[in-house]
Amino acid sequence: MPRHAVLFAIFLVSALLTVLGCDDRGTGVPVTSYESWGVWPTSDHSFDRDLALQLNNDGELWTGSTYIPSIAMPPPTGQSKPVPVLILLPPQNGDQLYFLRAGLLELAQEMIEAGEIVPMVIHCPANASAFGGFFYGNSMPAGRADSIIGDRMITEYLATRIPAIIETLRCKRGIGGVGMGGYGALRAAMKHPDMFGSITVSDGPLDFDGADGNSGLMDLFDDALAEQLNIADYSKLDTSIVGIDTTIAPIDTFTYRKFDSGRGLVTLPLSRLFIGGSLAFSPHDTLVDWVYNYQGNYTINQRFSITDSSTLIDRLVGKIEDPQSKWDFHLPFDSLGQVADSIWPLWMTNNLDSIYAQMSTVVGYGPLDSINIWIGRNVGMTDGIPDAKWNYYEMTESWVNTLTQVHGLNVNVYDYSSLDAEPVRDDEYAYDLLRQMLLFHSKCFEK
Amino acid sequence: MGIARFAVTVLLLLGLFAPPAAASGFENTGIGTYARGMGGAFRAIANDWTAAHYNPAGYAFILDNQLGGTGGLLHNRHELTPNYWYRDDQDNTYRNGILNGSTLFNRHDIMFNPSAGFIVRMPIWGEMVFGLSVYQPFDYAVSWQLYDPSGAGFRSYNEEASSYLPDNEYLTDLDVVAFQLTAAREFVPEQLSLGLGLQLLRADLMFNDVILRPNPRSGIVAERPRDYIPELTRNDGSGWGFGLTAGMMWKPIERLSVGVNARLPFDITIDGTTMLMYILPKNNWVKKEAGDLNTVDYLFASGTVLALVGDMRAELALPPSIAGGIAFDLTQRLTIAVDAEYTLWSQYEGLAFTYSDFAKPQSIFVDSIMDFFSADMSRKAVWENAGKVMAGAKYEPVDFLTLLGGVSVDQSPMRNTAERIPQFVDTGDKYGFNLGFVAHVEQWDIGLITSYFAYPDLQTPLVDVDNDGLDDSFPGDYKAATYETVLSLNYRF
Repeated sequence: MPRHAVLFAIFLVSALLTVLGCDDRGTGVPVTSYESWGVWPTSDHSFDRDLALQLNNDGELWTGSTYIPSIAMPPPTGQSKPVPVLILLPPQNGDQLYFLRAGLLELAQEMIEAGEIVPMVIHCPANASAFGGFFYGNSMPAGRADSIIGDRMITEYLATRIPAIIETLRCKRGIGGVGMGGYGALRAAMKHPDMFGSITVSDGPLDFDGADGNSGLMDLFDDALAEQLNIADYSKLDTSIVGIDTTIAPIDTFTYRKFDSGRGLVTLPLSRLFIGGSLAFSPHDTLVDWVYNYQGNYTINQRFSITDSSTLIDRLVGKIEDPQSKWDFHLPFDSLGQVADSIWPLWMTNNLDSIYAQMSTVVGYGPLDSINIWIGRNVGMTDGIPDAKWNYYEMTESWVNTLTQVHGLNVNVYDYSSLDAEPVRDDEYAYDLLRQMLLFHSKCFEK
Repeated sequence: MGIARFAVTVLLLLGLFAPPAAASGFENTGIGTYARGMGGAFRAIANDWTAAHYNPAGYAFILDNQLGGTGGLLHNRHELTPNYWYRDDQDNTYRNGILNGSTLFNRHDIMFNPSAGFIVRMPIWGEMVFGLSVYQPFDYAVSWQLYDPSGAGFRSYNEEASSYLPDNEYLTDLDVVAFQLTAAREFVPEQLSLGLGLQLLRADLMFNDVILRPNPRSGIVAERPRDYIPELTRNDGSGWGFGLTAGMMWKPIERLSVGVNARLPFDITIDGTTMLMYILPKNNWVKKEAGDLNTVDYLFASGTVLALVGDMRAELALPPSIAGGIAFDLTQRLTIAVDAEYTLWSQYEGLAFTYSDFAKPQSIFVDSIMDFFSADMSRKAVWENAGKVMAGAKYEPVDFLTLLGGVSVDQSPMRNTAERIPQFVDTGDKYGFNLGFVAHVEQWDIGLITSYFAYPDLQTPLVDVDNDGLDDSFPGDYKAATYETVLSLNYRF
């Protein structure tokens, strides 16, 4: 063979091997798109006529965030596999991002990828914006929340706004909540006993009058009044939320002028709690005859009002120039912090124990009898004082005892006290708590 | 002497524009086709200009003047599947933006590694052979993209973070180029020679890193997923130094030769610039809450991308080494050789960066926490001395062709440390396989060698050796392989 042919052949083979060994593999970095999974953008709100008269909600909106696992997405992203659904209700002042800020997205992804939980749609509705929420209660100014949560939120809201298919069996539906959201979850589940198969809640106003019938929220009446002591300068009030009439001079009696709500989140949290509760449980207009014309437009024909009360707070909320949307309410306590005898029973009618009894009569069995229950309980103490705020520990403890000892139910109680060596205080969100809640629901979904 | 001037010019240009390549630690895989083709077993042969690197004493036995050059095409094909989770107090894992579970590849790059030299015999001190050469005794380059909050499903940290990331966020690009003047002389004719090389070393370093630093704030501002702040560092600098290399070659009988070589590079101070980039968490709700508390807290929830530019200095400790080899002519056309090398990698203690003279930040809030932002986050390397054994053969089936083959076993200097990072992928003792040829056409030698380096697979855990809260390793499953093709051209005159 000629010399040059030999050299050329060797060179050609070597060059070919070199090229084959050096193809571009890329970086391997996964390509993800916002639409492929995660927080679904078109489920961030829905409209509901039952919200037409809700305070500070002219648009009749209920905002929310929805996590969708990729397997539930249509092809090519997923397989359109029907999955269970979980609703998580935030506490007072919590919005639709409350759980996501705490890492829900990452946690759900991790646990699903690791096979710790089954893939599930998780919907996180916001609490109402005015006063931090209305206990998810049913009244016209509160927005008939538990009717929506226990009825249309899954079957209509989610069914029409997300591309995932949600399983229809009751045992594939769960609800949970933290703080006020815990109360709301239990309330909705009991008032709609055919809707949910599992429920997880942690510390909240779960027994309004406490174990002894004279504590719980009742212990907080004085504290709410104490928040009000330094209120005199009405020019500082934040009127952006509910249209407070700041033109009226303060007077030194227990009227609406003495019970301020405008300082809001930081300085008056208890005041906001009781105003929100009063608008849900003891609104001045207990029944409203109204006609819905179209979105944002309605006619109130008649109001049925509470007449026997000395704790009426009028002209505080609603649009002063629009009497149709002005809502007055009755506080459950008087100017001395004593129980308002004619109002407090209206609150107690909405106590979970009362709802349990009412619904037992209606359906003929305990409304939680066939629901798997998990309750997280902050048992942390600092200097002998529970870390859970506002007697939430005592109220939670009392409710657990009621369920287990009075109604004989099996309750999975999860005690926690700290996270990463830091004490858990108030209704501070605990990442690990959410993990336990997801695990519990997943096990129930798998049964 | 026209060709000599031409050669000097070419060599200087090569030295100035020489880019990077790879080997054990960060030593070059080798130089020249003869040496590379025999797996590096070349110290007792050393019969072309690349003897400047393997054994300067070999110059003394080269009868021709030579001008030669090589070009290495090196391709690292590494894989890393990160397993870099954080764990909470209940031993649950949670995300941090690292692309865990994905099989990731180092950035595709075929690096060109040139070198060149010439030899001239001159009537000085009887007769001596001098050489000038430019080559890279040390070089290493690899880059990765391993951190991507969006890709990792970690958008809640800062949904825009991914748009700020470079595609080479983990990078090492280290070149040490030697401009070497070599002199060699026979002290016992045709039996014993000694050689000495004086090196001017030029080091160029680029080093990028992502360090997940504990959030220095407290409360909701630092709660998960904001509990770790990514610091992206980009260091770029260069420096000059000196080195020595010396060798001895002994031919006790006609068919046997023995070579010994020692190298002594001195430490190089690298000066340059650094850019520290912080992608801070973004959360409007936290920002609103934090804004009432503290303006620095507000900064840490704002999603701001901070880029701080300052001066950088690093001490690059290069390892000395000693080596020896034996070559034996089995027949007139077949030669075999075996070499061993011992490199003092324990001298290398990592790239200890020192930062200074940061441009004053425009924000007083940034200024108030500059101690955090400008802290030196260098990782200390704990490497060990390592050995290397090489064996090779060359065979001339016909006059115009020399076939070459060789293997090497290269001990890893990181074999006993868990402080593994993707910027230096050395997963353990590795094996090199080399094959090629040199064609002889009149006064020209044209060579081509293909090499493959096989690494063991490695699983690295997350470690914090000094308990300073900063991770000293990048945990995951590492796989590695290196391919290299070397082309050479040598002219004898």
